[in-house]
Amino acid sequence: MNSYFATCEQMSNPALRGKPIGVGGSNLERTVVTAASYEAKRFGVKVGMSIFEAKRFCPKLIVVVGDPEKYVDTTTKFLKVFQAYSPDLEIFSIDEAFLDVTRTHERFGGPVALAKIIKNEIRKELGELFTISVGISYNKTLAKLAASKMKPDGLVWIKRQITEEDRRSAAKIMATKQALAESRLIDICGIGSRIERALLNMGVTSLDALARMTPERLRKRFGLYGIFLYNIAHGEDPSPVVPYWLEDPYRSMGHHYTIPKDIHSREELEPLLLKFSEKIGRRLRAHGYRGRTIHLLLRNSDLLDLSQQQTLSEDTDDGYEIYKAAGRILDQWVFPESVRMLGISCSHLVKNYQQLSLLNDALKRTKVLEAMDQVNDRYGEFTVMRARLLKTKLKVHVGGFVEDRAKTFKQFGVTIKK
Amino acid sequence: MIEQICEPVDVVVSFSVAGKIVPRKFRWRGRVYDILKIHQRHETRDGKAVLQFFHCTDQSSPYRKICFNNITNIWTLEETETDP
Repeated sequence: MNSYFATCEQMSNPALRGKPIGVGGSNLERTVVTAASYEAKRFGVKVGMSIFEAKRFCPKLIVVVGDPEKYVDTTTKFLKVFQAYSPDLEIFSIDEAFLDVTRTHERFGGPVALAKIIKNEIRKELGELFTISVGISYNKTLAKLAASKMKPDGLVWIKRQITEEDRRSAAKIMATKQALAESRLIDICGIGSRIERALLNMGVTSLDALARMTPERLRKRFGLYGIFLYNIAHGEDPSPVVPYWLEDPYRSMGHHYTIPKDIHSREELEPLLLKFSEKIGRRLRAHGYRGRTIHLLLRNSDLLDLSQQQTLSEDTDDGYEIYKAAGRILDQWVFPESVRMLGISCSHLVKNYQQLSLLNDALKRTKVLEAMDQVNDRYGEFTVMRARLLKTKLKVHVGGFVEDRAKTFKQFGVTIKK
Repeated sequence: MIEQICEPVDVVVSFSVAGKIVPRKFRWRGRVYDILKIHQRHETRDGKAVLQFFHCTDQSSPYRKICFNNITNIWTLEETETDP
């Protein structure tokens, strides 16, 4: 989806249409631009910029507080459109998906015709402002690269070889060699800034140079990941589209939260830590998971991070155990002078694990958590909570779906972080 | 500029053949507003309640966000566009 959050906001509010808008969190002084309309992008506004910096590029920028619930519901709707054309739908993020149409495209006149049908259906279902960039190819990495080649409303097909007939196609058709030659390392999904830096340090400055590396050298430097790099430099990616209904959705559950005002003491931090730990515990229980490794991150006002993890002796789905583990990590640190952002997550998840404990306390705690969950399921999040959290309120947080790596929308529903 | 309101309102609705709720007009602070167009709708859950949100335009404002709670059956005016 093109400029997804911004388009959602312009669709809701006609007064924003045709204007430069930036979507951020509810703390407008501290938030960054999580999405910008094309009108704002023309001024150089980019995702990730602070609002202050974005307004320097575009003084007339209208900043809109994001509405995560609206975006998730809209995503549910467009995923239903995709699903009508192939059951092999892999949800990549809140606004991206892979659709394997190998078995279905002929019914609709081929992949280009099918892409155009989907584009029209999206507009009909979501609204006339919504556009999507479609990339077609013989593997996922090249399909994603193709989608990035033309925005907004693009339709690009990367093929191994181009035929005469392709020159008359409604789509922009590119040969694999040409597409890779025109792309930078960082344009490839899976090559982030860290991998790019490592490649540059090896003297690999382009995909062409990467293709000339031996698989043995890449494997020595990057392990198994080096084989992915070798393959993709040659236009190959054997990874299949994993349909959402087959995917094991969670590798971790967590939250990052930019605190409205810097805090300077552990006493100020602890209620937030407890609240997010409880949220993680609730989500673990809601999805039938337990986890073992707790990861804590604190970022100070100079944007320097302190992070550490601790692995528990037993899996847990209890927010209070997660909070205590985070506390033990904090015990090992000298508390920073100021804390701007907090991140906490639980990983090494196992599913549907029931451990019978002989300890009365553990049994009691399980029953209390079950009772709390039943009340909160019925009346809303944190209807019942620990007394310590009564005064702890959180600002709306936009983004984080990718951070959380929640790659499945269970029945096209997803937990919203509030 | 968007202003948070969060006040209950009286609403007249119709139900479409597709089973959708369509708000037609609402009364807020003694004044009646005809809804001219619904631009977007979305829903979310709060506990067992399903909250349906309607982003619409009336004769006085290009943007109102109204919400229907299916447990309490109460409509609220959540947000409105005011002059900048």
